[in-house]
Amino acid sequence: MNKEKFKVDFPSNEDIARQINFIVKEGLPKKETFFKQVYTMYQQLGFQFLFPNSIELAFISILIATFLFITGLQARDYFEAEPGSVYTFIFVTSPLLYLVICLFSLYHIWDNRTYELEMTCKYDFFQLTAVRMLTFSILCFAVNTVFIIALVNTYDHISFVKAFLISTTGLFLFSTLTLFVLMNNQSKIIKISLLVGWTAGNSLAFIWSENFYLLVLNNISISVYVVITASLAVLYIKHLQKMMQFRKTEGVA
Amino acid sequence: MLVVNHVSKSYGKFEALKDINLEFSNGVYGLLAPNGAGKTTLIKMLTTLIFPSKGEILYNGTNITRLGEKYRELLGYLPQEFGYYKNYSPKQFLEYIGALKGMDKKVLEKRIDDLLKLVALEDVATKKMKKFSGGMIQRVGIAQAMLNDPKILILDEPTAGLDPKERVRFRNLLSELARDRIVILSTHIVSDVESIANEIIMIKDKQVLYKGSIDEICKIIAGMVYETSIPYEQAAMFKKEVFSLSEKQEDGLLKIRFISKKAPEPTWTAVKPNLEDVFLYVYRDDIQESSAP
Repeated sequence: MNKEKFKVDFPSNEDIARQINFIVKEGLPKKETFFKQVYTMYQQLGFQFLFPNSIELAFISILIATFLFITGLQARDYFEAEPGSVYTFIFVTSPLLYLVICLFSLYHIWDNRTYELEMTCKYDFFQLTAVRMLTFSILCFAVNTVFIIALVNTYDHISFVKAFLISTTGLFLFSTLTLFVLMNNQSKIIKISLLVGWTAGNSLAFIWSENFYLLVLNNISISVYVVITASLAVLYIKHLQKMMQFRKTEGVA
Repeated sequence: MLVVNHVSKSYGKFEALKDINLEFSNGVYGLLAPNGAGKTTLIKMLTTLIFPSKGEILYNGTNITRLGEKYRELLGYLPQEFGYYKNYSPKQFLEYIGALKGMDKKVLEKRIDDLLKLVALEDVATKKMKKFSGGMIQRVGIAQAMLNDPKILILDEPTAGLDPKERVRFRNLLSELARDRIVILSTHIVSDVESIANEIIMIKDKQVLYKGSIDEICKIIAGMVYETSIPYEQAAMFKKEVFSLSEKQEDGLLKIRFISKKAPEPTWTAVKPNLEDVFLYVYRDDIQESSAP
């Protein structure tokens, strides 16, 4: 019996390589870095749509900054009587602007009931919130830095480097905790406690044991502050990165 | 094709949906059930707002969770509670949603103009939405859902707030759109889906009770639906023996449409059942419970 011979064209090495590349490209899309994603979102959405309530946010920022400057610059008697207390003030108030504008931004979404709709878009609520929080922390960092420069120019006994590091530590510590609590499905009470309890908690700790509080805050060396600040900054960015990817794996209730 | 494969959803010990199996290809699907039956839970899973506790939802063979933003790019969604920014105009709001959907700016501009005309809002395109009526807001909602020319259009109670003329326009629009996409319309208003849905899905006791064309579903009570006119004094007694669907006054008598499994009496006229009859009959317990004082 004559067997029919089939001739099958075997693809060339170039074809095989091209097909493999295509499969890998489609199956394993290249992961964008966090900052590249943020940049793409800025390009796609623009400032106007990333911050749909920008006028209110600007107004609140000016209000908080004014409050900080007036309080900080008018408390001369107290700061001079208690030389370390100015650092406590800087630490406690460092995330104040961040706290207020984050709360306002989230309230804006809740009040307008746009959450569900935003969750079904390509750029969803979590991605938007991550970019917004990053921007808020940069804004808060800038305002805090100007505030510290103003304090250093007003009071003789303040070290700029120390004040700057304490302020940055406070800001990143609070913002990292905020992200952690927001993303770990903690109860509403815990979320609210963190968001409003920071200032109250620190103030109470200061009143309860002023010496111990000041000791901790003032006796940490600059190098330790640098390490803490850098670690918190990295942790904060990592949490923001996780928030960007949050929806892909977790879903929402 | 969108496939819901053995999907269940639980919240702690409470089971909201149990072992749902559905298949959607191009056409209009009416998801019909009373309020609280689980329609919105199913819709939320189809839009990836929540994930199934068991089972999977596949689009063209791939789990929609894995597809992530690629799936959302194909999706148009109008939530039951449509949220919007009150200080935005419809044009600004559609630009915002279009940007979030990752649409090209030039394509978006043209699409917004077309959609605003389609939903008859072109005259108020730049007016702030805070002064809009419920119907106008709902039309903005419908426009945003169609913005990215979605392959899957999911509308949760879309006709709420629309006047009768707008409802008719909207139904015609959906029929036109459904030629080349999946349109899922969740509602408890039978007339919303009766004239346009290719298939009706009825959910009861957390499960899919019926899925089929309107004719198929109406066969459930075929030969059991009648109409008759009786004096008012006999109404209470008569309604104990049959299941009343609708009643109206006519020539001093009560004209009643009802379901009865008994052999028909000479004064009864057999009528062709419609979807509303099926809905009232299937959900009679839920309806009686919700209307009980």
